[in-house]
Amino acid sequence: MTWYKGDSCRMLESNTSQLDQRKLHRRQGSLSAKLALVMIAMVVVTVAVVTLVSIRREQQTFRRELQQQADVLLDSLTVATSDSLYRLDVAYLEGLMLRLGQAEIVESGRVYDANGRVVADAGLPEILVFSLESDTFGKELLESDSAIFRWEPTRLLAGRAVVVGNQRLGALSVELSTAPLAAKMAAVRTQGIAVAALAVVAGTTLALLLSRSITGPLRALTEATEHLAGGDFERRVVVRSGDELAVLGDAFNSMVTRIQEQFAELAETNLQLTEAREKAEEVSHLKSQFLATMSHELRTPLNSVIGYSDLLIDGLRGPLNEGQEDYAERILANGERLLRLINEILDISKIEAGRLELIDKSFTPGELVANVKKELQSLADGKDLRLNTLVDPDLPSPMLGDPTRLEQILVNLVGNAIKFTESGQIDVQLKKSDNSHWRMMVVDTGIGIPPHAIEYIFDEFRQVDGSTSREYGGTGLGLAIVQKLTKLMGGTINVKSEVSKGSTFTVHIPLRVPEMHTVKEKQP
Amino acid sequence: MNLTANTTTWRVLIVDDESDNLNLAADVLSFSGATIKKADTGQQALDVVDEFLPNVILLDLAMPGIDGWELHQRLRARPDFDQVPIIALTALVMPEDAMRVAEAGFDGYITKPFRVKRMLEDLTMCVETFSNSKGMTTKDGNHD
Repeated sequence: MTWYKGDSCRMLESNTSQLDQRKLHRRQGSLSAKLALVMIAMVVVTVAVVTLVSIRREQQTFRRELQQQADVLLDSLTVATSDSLYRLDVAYLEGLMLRLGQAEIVESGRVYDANGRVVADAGLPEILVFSLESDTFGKELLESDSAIFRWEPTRLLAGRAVVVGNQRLGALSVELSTAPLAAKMAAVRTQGIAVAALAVVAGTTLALLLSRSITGPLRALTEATEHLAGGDFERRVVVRSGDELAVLGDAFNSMVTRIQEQFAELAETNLQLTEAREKAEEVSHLKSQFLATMSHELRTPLNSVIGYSDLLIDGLRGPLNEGQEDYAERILANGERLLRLINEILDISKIEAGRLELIDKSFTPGELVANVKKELQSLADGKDLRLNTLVDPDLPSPMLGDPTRLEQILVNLVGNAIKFTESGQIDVQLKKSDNSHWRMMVVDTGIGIPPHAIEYIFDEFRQVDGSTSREYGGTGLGLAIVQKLTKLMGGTINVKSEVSKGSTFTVHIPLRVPEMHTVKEKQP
Repeated sequence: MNLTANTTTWRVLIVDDESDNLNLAADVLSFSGATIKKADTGQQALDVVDEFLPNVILLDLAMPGIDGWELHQRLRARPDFDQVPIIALTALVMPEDAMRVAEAGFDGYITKPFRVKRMLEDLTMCVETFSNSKGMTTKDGNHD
């Protein structure tokens, strides 16, 4: 039974550890993926940011260069055109612009007079007539003190006024194509993306390698742990990463070694304990066997002592004279005393070995008291003591308990009271204390117990002093058994006593009622 | 002295290796009116049982040779002793012994040492309980 339970327990344990191992695998897989993912994300973000920033920078540089180029161009044109503008030599200006246009230096170029009218245009060589309307951009240029740059989707429009002295002679504008810029930008972008892609690939590879270099040893450690959990203490883990994981691996190995040593020690201790327990069990077995044998061997002759004296007293072989009957009764009484002693020694041994089991049985308190009275009435009569009994009507009937052992408690207490009382009375009372306890009280008018002795009276083989044992007889085991049985029932016992006035023994016991009687009315 | 009155029809086979105890039980029962047969070994009990034809069997348990346990088993194996109560009369009184007696299927369990009157009361009860369980009528109705 116990083995079976133990086995199923072990099965349960190993199931749990398998489950844990599966969880561990899952966690480890996600760890390496997480590591790689985080590192790859970092590489991608970094490369993207760097690429974007550098493209942006390149773009700015190119714009600045184009703007400078336009500025330089405007400078030289200002110098070249100021005279012609002053003289309004349109033909010259036309020619200049046309050449500029043909040289594909500019997308277009315009010269404005002092009124903002276009006087020459590099893009439109055939328009030789002046525009009558003044151009908006031209006017804007004439009003501005510095050069104006205007960025449009495919070109840069730049222009400035031509000023000689305080006089604004006109204005110039050029359009430079941003196509070369766009081409350059595209090249830079392509290059950047290529570099970024390369960096991502390299970064990812590195990230994967790195994560594997971490999770690899971790997996080795996990596997070793699983083996350890499975009871394999021989397995060691090899981590050659030379980092903290290697330290961890070494620590793990030395831990396993220590566990192995401690397990060996534990096994040794267990073996010793098992041996000690087996020895103790054997001793206990031998002891109980001895007690059983002793009991049997003592009872066998005692049967003849008690049985034949009983037959003698019964006068079956002819009547005895008074003296003979007295002798026979003494033999009988002493035989019974010897029997009580044997029973009490057995009880004490059983209780001390934890082998006395109380039974649960339905009983009535009235019957309990009646049995005790029946057993001890003659003893009380012999000493001219009144034996009064009282059963509290509030006490449930029937109750649940071990009636044999309860009777034993009461018989021992009443027997004790009779033994130590010369005159007066013995009161036996069974009462309900509260909803959870009831009590058995035995009150006598005997010699009482001096205060210093009260604490010893429940010890085995002890009476108030050596002399009382001689004077009053008894085994000295009765009260010890009463106390042990009371404790076994979950109850308590207390004593109140006054020398030469009497003693009161009270046993408090948990109140229990058989289930089927809980609703039933009390029997009359 | 009046032990009990309804034992006169009893034919009791008493088996005990201790002669004092054997004689004690025999005296108690014969004084009470029963017909008795004594056997001081298990083998002797087997030898006389067919001739004596008891209607009550009292067995001591701890005996050399064929002990009470085995004797009980052998007698119980015989259908012709179906209607005969077999009762243990023993100084084996430990709870384990009581349990073993019950498990073995004895029809009664009386412990030694016994008071004579009480033993006869107990024995009568064992026999009556057995008879009732077998649907037999009590053999003697003349209570005194």
